[in-house]
Amino acid sequence: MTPRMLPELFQALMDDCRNTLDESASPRVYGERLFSSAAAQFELDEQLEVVQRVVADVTTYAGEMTYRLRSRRNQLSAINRLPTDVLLIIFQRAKDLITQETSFPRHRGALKFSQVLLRLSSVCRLWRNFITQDCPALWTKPPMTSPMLAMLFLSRSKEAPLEIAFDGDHKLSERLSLLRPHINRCRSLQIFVHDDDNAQKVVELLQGFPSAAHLESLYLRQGDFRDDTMGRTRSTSSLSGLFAGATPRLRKIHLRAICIPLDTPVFHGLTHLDLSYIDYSDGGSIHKFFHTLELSPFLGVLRLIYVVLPPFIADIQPTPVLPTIVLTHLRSLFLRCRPGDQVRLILHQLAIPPSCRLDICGETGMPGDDLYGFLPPPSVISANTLPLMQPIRLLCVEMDDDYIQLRGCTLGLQDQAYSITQNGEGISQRVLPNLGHILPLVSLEELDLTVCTTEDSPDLFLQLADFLQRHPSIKDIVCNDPRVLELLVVTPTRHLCPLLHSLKFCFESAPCEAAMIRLVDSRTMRGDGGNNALRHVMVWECASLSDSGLAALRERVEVEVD
Amino acid sequence: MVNLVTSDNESFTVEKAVASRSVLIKNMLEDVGESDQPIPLPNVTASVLKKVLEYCDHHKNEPMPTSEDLAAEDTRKRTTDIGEWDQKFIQVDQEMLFEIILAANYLDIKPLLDVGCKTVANMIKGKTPEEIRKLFNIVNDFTPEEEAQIKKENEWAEDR
Repeated sequence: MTPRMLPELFQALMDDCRNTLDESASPRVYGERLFSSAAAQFELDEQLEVVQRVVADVTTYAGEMTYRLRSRRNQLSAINRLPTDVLLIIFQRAKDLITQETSFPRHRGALKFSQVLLRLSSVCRLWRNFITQDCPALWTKPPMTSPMLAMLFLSRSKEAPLEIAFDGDHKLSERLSLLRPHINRCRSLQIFVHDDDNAQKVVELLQGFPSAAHLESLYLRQGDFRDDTMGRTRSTSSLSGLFAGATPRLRKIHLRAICIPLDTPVFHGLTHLDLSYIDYSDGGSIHKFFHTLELSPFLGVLRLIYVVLPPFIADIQPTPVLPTIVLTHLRSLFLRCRPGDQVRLILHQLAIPPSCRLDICGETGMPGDDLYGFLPPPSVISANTLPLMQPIRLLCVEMDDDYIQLRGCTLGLQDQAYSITQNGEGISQRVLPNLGHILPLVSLEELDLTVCTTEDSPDLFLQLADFLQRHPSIKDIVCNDPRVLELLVVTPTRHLCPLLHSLKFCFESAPCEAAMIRLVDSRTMRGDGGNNALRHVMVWECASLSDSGLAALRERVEVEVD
Repeated sequence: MVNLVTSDNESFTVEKAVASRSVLIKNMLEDVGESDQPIPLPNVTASVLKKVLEYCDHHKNEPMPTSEDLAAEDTRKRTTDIGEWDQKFIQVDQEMLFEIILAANYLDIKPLLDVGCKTVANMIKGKTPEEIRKLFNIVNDFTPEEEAQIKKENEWAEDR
């Protein structure tokens, strides 16, 4: 527009505006005597009004034009020429960058994520319209710490499945009531609380929720992640169905110190069940638990950590025979228990595939308690094809005065078939004699032995010698205790590990150079009836190994020093 | 060998294994069978195709993403890491970066599209709206009413 055109254009705008005003104005009646000055003023006022109107209209129009032109300009920028599906991938990746920064606490992580999303939708109108209207998938994790923001997310996520996670101690009821109308499209629900009262409240509130038709994962947790000393939460038998008993897609349940009765319909058709620090003394029983497992034949992961499941009380009801539960899809069984826990007998009743990984840890209560405390008798093991039947090539044994851990691996350390840990006074001496009987080790080739006993335990080493004698297939031994060397020295080769090919020894501070040399001598000399298979010795932490000792070893075998 | 012709009429002769990193070209080759006919790529210029083929050549021996991989993309397995070679490869000016992304999208080369999108996401990371506008040559086109709404939303998300 050139300045010369402006008066003309302005006059045209004013005429147009005046015509509009004249048409809409009511007829004015003046008195017989017109005061010319007043009339002129009136006329000018009218003109001023027209001018103001025109200016306002032009300003509005110019503003609209400016925003429109800016928007048009933005459409031509390189990033905005990308198709919207590609733009969506970029926004999702930007979201992932925040999601993967796991150092944030849960609520702050959600807030950070929403900040990113709001920042992206504040760049330009095109981005904003796209993000807020066409990408409900970006708004499916509402930050429940801010009710306003949560409502914004819930509205912008439209009908997309929701993933809800929040710390529930603060304003728990408010947050859950915000969520309640949307529970039908909730795919996963994670609630974390820090005390018993809120744990109870969560379950009570969820009990009043309507059906959760799309809920796949329920995660309710009380207490800190690292707090393993906490007590067990007792069940409340008065509770019945959560989510109106309708959770047809629920597959994963994780409860930590938050109790949901076992006869609740949520325990149905699961693939993943994780219960920890729950006391089912009131209203629960080992039988009910087995029935729960029966209702989830496709269970893939079962984790039970310090769960109390009482036996049936015989004087109230005749004890039914415990059924064998067939879980052909079980990939992982994780068990932590204390003395007397019924759950430690779970393996006696399960038929699970050999490929299932076992991770069992428990304290032993009474003398005589050993591996049989967890594991069924060999006849039952055979019948159930437990993972314990897998051909174990590597067995790692770590033991001290009141602790033993057995890890059986089919190939290397990565292929672990089972891990069994027991605590209790003298437990190692009770477990070692069973080793190989209850856990078949016919394919055992490598033994990794870490002994940290403080007491002199001759019995323990006698039992170890017995174990080695029963497993002549061992070719590699890794150990840290010179008493193991002594065992191998004093026993003729043909009786103890006749195929021993490689020995890896951690010297630490023990003066055992002489024992090592004697062992290598005995295992490499001809004419002793053995097959003189020892070829390779590896030593580490070898400060106490002298140069002459090392040279003596190197005369006989290949020696590697680390 | 496969002959590819760009929008600016330049020809590229490449190994089949290289060209087949593009699902679009792979499907075309399967559809037409053994043929010497050049494959026209009307949406890709020579300078961009050269760059895309450099990527395909480097990754020609890697397994093609399976349907499981693509499904995993939609779940939590997604990673934001970019390989070392890919990082160097994608260090281009912004115009070329978006051209590569467009070409990867058109030619259906998902891993390249992913590298491009992750790179742009990394450029956006930690920036304010104004900084993002400046980065991508975008201007603020919000009305005062929209600005007020945006301000309100951002206040809700303030870290408390």
